[in-house]
Amino acid sequence: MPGLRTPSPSRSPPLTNAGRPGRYYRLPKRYDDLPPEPPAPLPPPTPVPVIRRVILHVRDTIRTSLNRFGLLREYPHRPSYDPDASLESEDLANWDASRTFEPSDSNPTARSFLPPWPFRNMSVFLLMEWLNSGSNLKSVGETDRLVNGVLRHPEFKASDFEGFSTHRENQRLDKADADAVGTPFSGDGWSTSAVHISVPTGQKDPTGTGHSFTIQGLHHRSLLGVLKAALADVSSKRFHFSPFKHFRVLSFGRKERCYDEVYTSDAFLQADDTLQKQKNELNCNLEKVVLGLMLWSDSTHLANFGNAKAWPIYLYFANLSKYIRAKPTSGSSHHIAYIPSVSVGI
Amino acid sequence: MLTAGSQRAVILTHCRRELMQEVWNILIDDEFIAAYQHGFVALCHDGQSRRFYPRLFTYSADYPEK
Repeated sequence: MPGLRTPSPSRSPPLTNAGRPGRYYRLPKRYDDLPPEPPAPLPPPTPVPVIRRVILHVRDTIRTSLNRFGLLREYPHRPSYDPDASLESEDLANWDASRTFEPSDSNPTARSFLPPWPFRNMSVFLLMEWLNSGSNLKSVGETDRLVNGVLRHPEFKASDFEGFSTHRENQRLDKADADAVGTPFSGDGWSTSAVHISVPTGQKDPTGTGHSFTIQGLHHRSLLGVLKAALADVSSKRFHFSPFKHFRVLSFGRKERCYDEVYTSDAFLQADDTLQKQKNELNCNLEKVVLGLMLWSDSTHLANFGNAKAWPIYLYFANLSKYIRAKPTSGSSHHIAYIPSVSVGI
Repeated sequence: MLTAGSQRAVILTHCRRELMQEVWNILIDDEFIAAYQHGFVALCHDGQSRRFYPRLFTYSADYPEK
């Protein structure tokens, strides 16, 4: 609670109307609202003596300092990229901790009711007027997204919109999608296949293969194409390429391991360790990174009434924090297949 | 092909399991297996290229039995 502060003990409390010393009321400690905080930054790199002809695997274990919640990260190797270094408070909470409240207008008589009123300035006025007029399909959330993602973007320039037409730009996007060869997003399109399964018929079959049965209409995407497209997507700047151990330091100095993400789990650390010990590909000195895949599938009802059903397979990336991955608006779920229903054909 | 009998449900369940297996057979194609073994290079958001090795960490799925 930002409004309630612990009073300094030296000042004596003001007297009440009855002449007795007054009391300070304060909220119990459990109601203290601590805004979330990103992890402590990595220490600056120190020059490491270059050791030639190493047979053993050298580890430069690196440990960050504690953040406010007593959490530290311990990497087995110095990471080449720290996605948490650029975390803003709005990424950590849906309530902006740094938000300040504006003082209310103290002199109501001198107020003017001309255009920016009741807003702060003309830009806000024009936007709010646009929001509350015309089509009612503009939501508050989408308008926030427009302001924070587009209008306040450092590369946004109103002068770029000379002769702009939404229709024409949409056509340009469709065309780029259609003849995309060599763009990061080529190769992750959908294709349709037929699936062949063998079914026992109950009759004697000397070959033992059963009756072959074809199910049409499996819609799927190339797994590798999806992986490549996901790495080119903007959400990949939040990907953790190096796994680490998360520790919480207790008050008496003991460390407690925190298992909070896939990339802090033993399974990921082990997979990374095995990969780092694996021989490099020929003439390739690029950093080797484990790309964790998390697959999920369940049949889904598409409507409250009727039996419209779909049976999708989804792909998530373990390199992404669960706080981002689990957000419905983060776009971090990739659908890779829609499985046809068996009972249609039989 | 199938008549309504006691075996119908069993055979349908068998079909769905076979279908799921076969779908994964199609999804895990040669291209993916090559990437699994030898990695694939991708340009990352920070401008560096890295060699990525896909690894499966979780798989939670069922095949609809009914």
